Amino acid sequence: MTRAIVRRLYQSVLVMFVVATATFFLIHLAPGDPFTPSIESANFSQEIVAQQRRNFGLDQPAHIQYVRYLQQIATGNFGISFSQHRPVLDVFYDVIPNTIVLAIAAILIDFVTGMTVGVFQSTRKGSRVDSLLSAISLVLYSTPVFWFGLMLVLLFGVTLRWLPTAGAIDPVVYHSLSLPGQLWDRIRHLILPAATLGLIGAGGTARFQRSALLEVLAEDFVRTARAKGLRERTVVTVHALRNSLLSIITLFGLSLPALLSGAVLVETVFSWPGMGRLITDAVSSRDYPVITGAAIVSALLVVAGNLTADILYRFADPRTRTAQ
Amino acid sequence: MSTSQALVEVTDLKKSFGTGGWRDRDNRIRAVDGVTFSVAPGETLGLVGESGSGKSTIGRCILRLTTPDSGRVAFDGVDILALGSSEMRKLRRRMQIVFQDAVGSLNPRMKVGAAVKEPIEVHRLATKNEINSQMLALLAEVGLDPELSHRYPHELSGGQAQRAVIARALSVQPDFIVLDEPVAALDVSVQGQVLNLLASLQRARNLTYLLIAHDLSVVRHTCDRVAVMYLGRFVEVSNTSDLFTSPLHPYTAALLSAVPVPDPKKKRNRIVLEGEMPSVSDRPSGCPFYSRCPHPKKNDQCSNVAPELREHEPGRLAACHFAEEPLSI
Repeated sequence: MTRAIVRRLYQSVLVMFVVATATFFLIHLAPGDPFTPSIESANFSQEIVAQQRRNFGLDQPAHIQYVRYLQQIATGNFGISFSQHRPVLDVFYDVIPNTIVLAIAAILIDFVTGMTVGVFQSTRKGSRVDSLLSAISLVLYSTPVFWFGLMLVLLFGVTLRWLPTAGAIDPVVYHSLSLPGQLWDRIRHLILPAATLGLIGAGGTARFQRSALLEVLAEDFVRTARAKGLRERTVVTVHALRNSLLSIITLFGLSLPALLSGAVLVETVFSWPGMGRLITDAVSSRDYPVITGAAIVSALLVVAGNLTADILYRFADPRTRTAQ
Repeated sequence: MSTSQALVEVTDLKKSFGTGGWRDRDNRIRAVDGVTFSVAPGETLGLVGESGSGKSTIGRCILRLTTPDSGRVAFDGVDILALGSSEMRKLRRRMQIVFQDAVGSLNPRMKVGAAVKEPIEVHRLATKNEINSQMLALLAEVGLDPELSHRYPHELSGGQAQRAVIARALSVQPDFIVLDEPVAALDVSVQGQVLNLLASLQRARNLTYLLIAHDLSVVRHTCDRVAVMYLGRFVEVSNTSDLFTSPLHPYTAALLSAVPVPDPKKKRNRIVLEGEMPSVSDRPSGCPFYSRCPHPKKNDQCSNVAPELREHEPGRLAACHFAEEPLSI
C-alpha cells in the first residue's frame, strides 16, 4: 500500500509539471500582456511600460521566461503577483482556507443529502416518492451552478432577507463580534454558496447511490442475507450499502475537481474570497504568476483528492487490498 | 405424497412479473402459473426445465424471497405467506437457500468465517464463546480447511466457495434447503464432490432438498422425485427412476433424448424440438407445449384445451392428453 502511494506521488510530480507547462504556454499564447495599454493605463509613456516589462522579465523570449519560471517553481517560489504586489504564496495563504472550508461544507451537503436520498429511493424502488425524487435530482443535476446560485440569492437574500449573499464575513460588524458571534457570522455566509455547490452535487450523488445500491441489492449475497433471517435494515446497511460505497468513493474522487471548477463560478456569484474568485480576478488582470500558481495548486488539490479516494478504496474493498 | 406428512406444501402458486412499467400493465410475464406440489421430509425433489421456465421463481417463492401473486406455501403446516415479518424471520432458521453463483452469494467484504457465523449470531443459536468453534466445526463438516475462515470470498476457488455457502446454510441447522443450481457453475469433477457432500449431509442431518437444475444427469443421481417444468407449469412429476426410463410427457422424452450417452454404438432415438420456447408473456391457448410437440397424434384438442396435470400411474403425474401413449426414447 505504501509503495502504491509513493508511486502515485511520483506520478503527481509529473502531473504538476505538465500543468505548469501547459498553463504557462496557454497564457503566453493569448495576445497582450499585463502592460498592454488599457483605458486606465492609456497615459503611461512607452518608457514606463517598457521599464515595467523589463522589471518582470516579460521582455525576454517565451522559452527563457519558461526556464526561469520552472527554476522558480522548483524552489517553491511562485513569484510576485502583478496586481497585488506581494508574493503569490501569500495571496494563496489568504484564500485557500476559504476554498477548503467551502469545499468541505459542499462535500458534506452533497454526500449526506445525496446518499440519504439515494438509499431512501432504492428501498422504495418504483414508488411515487422514488419517481418524484428521481425527477428532482435530475433537475438539480442539470441546473447550471451559477443560475442556481443566483436563484438562491434571489430567494434567501433578496426576497426573504434571511441570509447574507456576499463574502465570507460581514466586513462592517465582524471584528466587533464575540468569538461565537464571529463563528455564526461565518456559518451564515457559508450556507448559500455551500448549498449551491452541495445540492447540485447531491442531485448526481443521489442518482449514483440509488443505482449503485439497487445493483447490489439484486446480488445473491443480499438475497441470502434475507434468507438468513436478517432484518431488512441490517440487510441494507451492513450487506448492501457497504458494498455500494465502492462506486460512491469513485464518484467522490471524480467530484473533487468538479467542486473546484464549480467553485470558480460559485465564488464569483457569492463574492467568496477563495481560489475560484482569485483565478477569475487574476485572469481579467492578466496576473500571470497568480494564474499559473493557481493552476498548479488546483492540480495539487485534485491529485490529493484522487489519492484520498484511492486510499479510501483500499479500506472499503478487501479485493484491492490483496491485489497489491 | 400423503399431504399430512409433507414438510413443504405448495398449492396453486402463481407469480408474474411486469415487463415495461406503467405503460403495459397487462403485458405481464407469468413466470409461475399455477403449480401444486409437496416435498416430504428427508426427500429430494428435483425441479428441471429450460431457462425461463420458472424453476428459480418457485424456489424463491417458497422462501418468500419474492412474494407470490396467489397460492399457498405451507412449511411444516404453517402458511408462510400469512406470517408477519418477525415470525417469518424466525422461521427462516429452518429453511435456507444455496445459489448457483457461490462467490456472488458471499458478501465480498466479509471473511468466510464471519459469513458462516452471521446466521448463528442473528438467530442467537450459540453463546459468544461457542460461535467460533461451531463455525470451525461447520467448515470441517463441509470439508474446508479452518485456515480458509480468514479468507475473503474472492480468494476461494468455486468449489471452496460453494462449500462455504453450504456451511453457512447449515449453520442454523435448517430442515429444508433450496438448492438453486448448486453445481452448475463448477467443474465437472468438483460438481461430483459437491453433490456427494450434499448427499452425505442429507443423510447425516436428515435434510429435505428442493434441487433446481437443468442438468438431467445431476438430477438423476440425487433426486427421489423429479418435476419437469415448461412455461411456468409442471408437465410431469414422477419418481426419478420411472421418469428416466419411461417418461409420460413428450417434453420430458425430448429432454431425455438430448442427454448424451457415453456409448457411441448405442442406437438412440433423438427427439429434436423445433423452435424456441414460446414467450411467457404471450402464452398460447391450449397445451403450452403444442407448438413444439413432437407427438404424432397431436390434434385440435391439444391446441384448444390445456391438459390438466393428472395421475396416470401411482405417483406419476403428467399434463398431456396422450400420456397413456408416451413417446419411446
